[in-house]
Amino acid sequence: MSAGDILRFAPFSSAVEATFWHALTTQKIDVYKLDDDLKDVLGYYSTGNSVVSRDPGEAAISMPARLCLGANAFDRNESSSRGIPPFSYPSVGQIKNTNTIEEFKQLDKPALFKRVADQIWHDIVSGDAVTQPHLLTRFLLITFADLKKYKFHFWFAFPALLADPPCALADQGEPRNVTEVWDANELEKLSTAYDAYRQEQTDGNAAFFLIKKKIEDGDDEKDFAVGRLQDWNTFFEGVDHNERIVGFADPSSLPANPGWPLRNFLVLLQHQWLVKQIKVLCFREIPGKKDISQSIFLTVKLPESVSADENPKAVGWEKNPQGKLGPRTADLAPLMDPKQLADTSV
Amino acid sequence: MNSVQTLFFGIREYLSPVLKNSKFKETGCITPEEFVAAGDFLVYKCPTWNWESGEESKKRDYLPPEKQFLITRNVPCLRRVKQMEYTDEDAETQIETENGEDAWVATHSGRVIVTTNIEVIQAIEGEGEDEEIVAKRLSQIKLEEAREKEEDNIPDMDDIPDMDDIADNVVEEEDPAAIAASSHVPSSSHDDGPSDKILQVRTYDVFITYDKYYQTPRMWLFGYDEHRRPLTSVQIFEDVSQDYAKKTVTIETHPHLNMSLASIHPCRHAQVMKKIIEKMNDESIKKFEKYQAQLPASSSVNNPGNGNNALQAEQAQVRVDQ
Repeated sequence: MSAGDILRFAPFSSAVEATFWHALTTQKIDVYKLDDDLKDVLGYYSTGNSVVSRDPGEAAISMPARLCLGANAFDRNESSSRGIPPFSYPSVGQIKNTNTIEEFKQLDKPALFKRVADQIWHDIVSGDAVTQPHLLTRFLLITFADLKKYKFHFWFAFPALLADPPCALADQGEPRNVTEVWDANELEKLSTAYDAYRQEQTDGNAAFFLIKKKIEDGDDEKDFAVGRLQDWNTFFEGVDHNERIVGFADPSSLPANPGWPLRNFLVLLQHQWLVKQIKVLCFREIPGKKDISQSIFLTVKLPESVSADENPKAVGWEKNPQGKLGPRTADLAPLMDPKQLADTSV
Repeated sequence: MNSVQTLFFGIREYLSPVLKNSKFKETGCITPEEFVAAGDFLVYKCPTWNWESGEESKKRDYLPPEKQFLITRNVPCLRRVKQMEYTDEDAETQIETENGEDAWVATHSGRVIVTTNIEVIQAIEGEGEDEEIVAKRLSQIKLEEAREKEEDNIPDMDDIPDMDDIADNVVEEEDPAAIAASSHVPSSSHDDGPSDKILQVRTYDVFITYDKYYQTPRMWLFGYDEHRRPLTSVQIFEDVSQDYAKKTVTIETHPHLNMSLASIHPCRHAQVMKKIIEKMNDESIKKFEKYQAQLPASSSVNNPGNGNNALQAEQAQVRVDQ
């Protein structure tokens, strides 16, 4: 990629844990029964990192940007960051579980999709996404649970508002590994500053944040400050536009492509603070190792304006394993069906 | 059959008393308190592991409600190996103990690079006393060698209801800003864009529970295929050496979840643990003696150089265990 090129994003891949289907079954039987309204679910994602094989002949391998749903997806805590694994970030979604396969087929999917996309836009306009940035990663999940056969048909959508024209890379803003931008000492300082920040945050503030270099008189050591989106004005006061950096927890592990959450984040930046060009840290860590050297750094040029009169268009239906738009199926019969279990027992 | 067995295991677990006093040194068994302590240490050392509480109805009262079992998720299983062929390099070597009894097997002993699941091993580093045995047992789970065609891309059409018309009304806007979602599995070799670098691999969720009957920790594995569909037991056994499948590794009901998954059977865990502790202990003592012998008479043990601290710490740990 070079300057002027359209910035291309790595989409989410859904990653549902088997325990989620079990939780859905329980929820369906005990709570929802025939109620098929949209319900809240809590998903999570972690930052991407490529895995280096022990075989020296093999290149590093990038893992898909996974959006996961676990057994705790239906637990509603006051804080969205609870109930998700360490080093992961919350993402709220809505699930539509139909009662029959026919209903699942005939669902007005574009309308549901538009509802979630409009909600994201609404959160951006109202400023809710500034105080609760995890609302930027809202998703939609439509399901049909065939409880007799232990089969689950499902389809995810991760709506991303379309920027028109698309966001492009700025001059000399090509994606670079963060180690080319900052030295090891600076990275350690940034990592420490971010860790301290993350400890105190809830509601997805850990996933979207502001960064600036601290300037202290008579101190040559470069240190970093990390702050919340809602403190934008005070945080960036006196900081030159070219020195302003935004960061986000990046589920992508590709060397030149940031992950999906940046798309709606850029729309927010454009709309809330009329940002025209911004430096972005795509934060990627190796969990528990305090290693953020796989993060990438790029500069984005945003379009002039997104029309505020009408809701922007959005994309984001997940493709199925065949690469087509369509639902997926999880077959849990071998794991849940007592008859099939008997066959594998020893 | 299975339900009868499950019932039997349930009753057996119910009847067996909770281990109260530490027997780790004598038998290799641990108390629930020791399990929690070791788990806390694991979570502290490797924060990708965390405690979970599991199903409300399946809570064990001898464990803290929030610390029922340990889990680490999405551990990639890089090697797609099926029909793993045994060459001389992959030979299994009996590791003999000094008295020749109870040897165990090392896999791939002829190989320089061990093709085991690196991440699992990394993830359990620092598990303290359980580290070696777990690593050892995990290394029995062979991962596949990866270059062949992936055959399960084609779903079983009988299983999927007619979905032809389902996507009819879903039309996506033109989106030049998205990279094509990759559905590539490691078998693909052609290069037509950045998305090719994303590899879809099998992943495993790894659980450690406390087995009250055997009084040991117990490992569980739950796998997902390249497209994130749960692996069936048949598929999981493809990742397990045939020598162990359905013997050491069996499919059983998870004690804290309503699911069946692969488990490394704990029946010999305690004995193996005991052997490992003894071996480590002996080695540490030998090391310590050697270290003491090397010390010049003038420098006292109370004033060690930095380089010796690690050894001392190790020795101290062994002492604590004793």
